[in-house]
Amino acid sequence: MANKRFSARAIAERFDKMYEFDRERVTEDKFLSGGKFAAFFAGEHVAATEFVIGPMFVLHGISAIDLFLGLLIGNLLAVLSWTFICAPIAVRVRLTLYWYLRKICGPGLTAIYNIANAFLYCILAGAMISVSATAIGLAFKVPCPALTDVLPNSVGWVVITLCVGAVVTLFAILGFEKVSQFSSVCVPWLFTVFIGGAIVLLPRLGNISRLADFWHIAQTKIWTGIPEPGQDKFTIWHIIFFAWFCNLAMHVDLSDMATLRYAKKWTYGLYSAFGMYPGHYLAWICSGIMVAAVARKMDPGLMAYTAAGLAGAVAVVTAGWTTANPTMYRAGLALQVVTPNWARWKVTLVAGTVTTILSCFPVFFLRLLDFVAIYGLILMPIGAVVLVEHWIFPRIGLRQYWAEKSGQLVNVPAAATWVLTLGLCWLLLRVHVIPHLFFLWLPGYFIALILYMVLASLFGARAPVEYRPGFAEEKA
Amino acid sequence: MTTSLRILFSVIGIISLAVCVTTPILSFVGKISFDGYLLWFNIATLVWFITAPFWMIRKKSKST
Repeated sequence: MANKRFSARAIAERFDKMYEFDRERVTEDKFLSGGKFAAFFAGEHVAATEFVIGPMFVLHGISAIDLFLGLLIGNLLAVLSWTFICAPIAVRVRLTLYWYLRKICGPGLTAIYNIANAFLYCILAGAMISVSATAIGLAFKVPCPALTDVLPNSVGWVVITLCVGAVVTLFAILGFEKVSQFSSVCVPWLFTVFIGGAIVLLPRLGNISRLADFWHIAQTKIWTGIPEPGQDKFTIWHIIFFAWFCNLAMHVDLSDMATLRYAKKWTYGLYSAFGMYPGHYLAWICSGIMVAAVARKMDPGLMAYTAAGLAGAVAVVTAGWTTANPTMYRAGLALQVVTPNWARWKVTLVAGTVTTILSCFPVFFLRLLDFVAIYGLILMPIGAVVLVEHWIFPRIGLRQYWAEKSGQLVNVPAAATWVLTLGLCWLLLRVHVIPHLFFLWLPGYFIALILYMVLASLFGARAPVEYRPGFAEEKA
Repeated sequence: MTTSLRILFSVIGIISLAVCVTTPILSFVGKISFDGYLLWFNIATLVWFITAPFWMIRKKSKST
């Protein structure tokens, strides 16, 4: 009985049930206007992470020109990825990634993908709890961990993160609709905290009466090109790649199919620019200015408090909370399917407890850039598998959706592509063929594309499939 | 909530957001002090959070 309950098939069935509500293709009457997409992207990309990423670039010794140019190019590449990779598939199939993945990879592998995603969500939520804790720590005079800290630096820090984590978990248990609504209220105001905070702190770095003065201060006081002790030196390439891959899960890994399937046409992917340039260009630049004005101390709470007083501290707490909450809710929902019929609240409680414990360790928010790189990298091979099967298979005479048509629970070539690609990526980094984690996903993506084409053609996609309605077959 | 009240809240909300944007600029150009900026920014923040939920969060319409 227990074996039956925990079998891959049973887990996959529970996932199907969970996503049942968005199983249908989006119909024409449900298409959304471009304005809705602009608002969606603008709302999604001004969050707590922006309080960490901008300052990290400063501390990694990027120069001003490299930052401004690198962000311009990297964000453009991200917008193009949404437009040319994610949106065209989304408007052709009009399904969420979950259901499309199920057709390509089989329900078993889709379930594994979802569980991996849930664990990554927990770590991200943990980092956001830590960011919120830096603001609450100010009120209790608890020092923020140092840049190189891995373990908690004080009992006070542990107590605060545990308390914040408990509150976030409680709200995640109660559901996230209200928090999501509250988050939409926060976004426009949060943006003014970034912009206003940077403007008001600029005079602390030097006298500015014309644009040339700003550029001089930018080069000599903010993005000086000199990294803090213990930090790698970033170049324009690090910035380009980071800006490109920091939402890899959404564009190249196709998570945003869930949203873009409502688009009238694939060019709606261009609306992602409304999220990228205010959030990942202006907000990162503004938070970089703010960290320089607080003596380059990596403390989001202190930074925002110095810039906007109590409102700044509230901004950090709410930004961290509203990011962590839905993330934890989704993780709980995804993990629910691997439990022995536990209620969602119980799973969310367990996920929240693990997340809260993780948040005590400052390494997760202080190494946020590396975590974001690893997050995108881990999911990337599956994005490549979908791309190959969608676009390349029909052109090279391979059979699309062959795993589904032959009733497979797990598309073995896809699973092998996932594991082998990550193994090869690790090797490339280990032997220093690729000099930095940030650059790994791109060669990894091409490796995954080729591997899946070869493996699928050898193990099932080439031969004519004998129709066998199996588990993976969609219900009529 | 009536439409006119919703419009009123949205106007007040947008004004408060405008205050959040303009006060840092006024402080930057030296028209108001840093403390003055902090006071106005925090008041505008409070007003935003009081008014914005009334017009930004719409109740779901009943499905037919």
